[in-house]
Amino acid sequence: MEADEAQIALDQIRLAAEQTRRAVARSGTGWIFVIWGCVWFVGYLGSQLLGGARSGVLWLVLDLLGGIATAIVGMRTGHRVRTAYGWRVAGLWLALVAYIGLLVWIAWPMPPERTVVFVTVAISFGYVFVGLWLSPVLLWTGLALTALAILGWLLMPAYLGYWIAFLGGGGLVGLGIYILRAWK
Amino acid sequence: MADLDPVIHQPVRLRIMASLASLHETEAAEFTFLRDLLGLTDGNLGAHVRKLEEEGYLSIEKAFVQRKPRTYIALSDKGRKAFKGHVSALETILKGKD
Repeated sequence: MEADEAQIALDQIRLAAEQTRRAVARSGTGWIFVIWGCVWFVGYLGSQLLGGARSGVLWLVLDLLGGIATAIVGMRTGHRVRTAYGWRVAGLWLALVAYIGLLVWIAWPMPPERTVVFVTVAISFGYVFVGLWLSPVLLWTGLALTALAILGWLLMPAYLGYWIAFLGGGGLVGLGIYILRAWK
Repeated sequence: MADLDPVIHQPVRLRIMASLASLHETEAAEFTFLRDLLGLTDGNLGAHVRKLEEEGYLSIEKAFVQRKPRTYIALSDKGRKAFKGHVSALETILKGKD
């Protein structure tokens, strides 16, 4: 075999591998980013505008809806590539949410903006953790969300809910749409 | 130095192997996912999958998911090793050019 033919074969291998990874990622990831971006947008806007117990109820409803929507996306797309990780990742998120609730309860009372930044950074840690394990996109998203939350908390704590709703929630929706459109 | 594997070398089978090798060892691709991804027909993909399975390069599992029959395809240990050897042989040929 000539070197040129070997190069063509290696290019085909690289392309097929890249298409496969992207198809796997696109099948669920894009929609999941859109879903949770909407949850963040409405939830943080609610935290800013409603405050107190009413925003807690709003978050419970939104998390429930987000969880159901994510499960539906997972069931519709998960059959394409069967993985041993699916349930572990879902378990990790459930454990993280439960522990965040527990930690907030232990640390209560906290000022509202401190609660917002605490929860945001903890959820961002989930992105970083899963990202280190499975996907660089999740890793970088988690790091960006962490930086965004800390920056907003330091620069404009009184408007932190708006800051995270528009930049964090909006960013997640934008990233989801980008993945759905670009990863073809 | 590893030799080129004539079974893997066929272009469609090369793409099938590359696609499956890019998945994690615990993952398996559904038949229609692979068919759509590689732009093949059922018959074409089926024939190449059979050939690779005969060589012991693939493990195939049939399952019912949401009451629909699905065929899951993954690289076997032998297939993963053979694919690595084939890639290594291609890289050696390429290096020989320099």
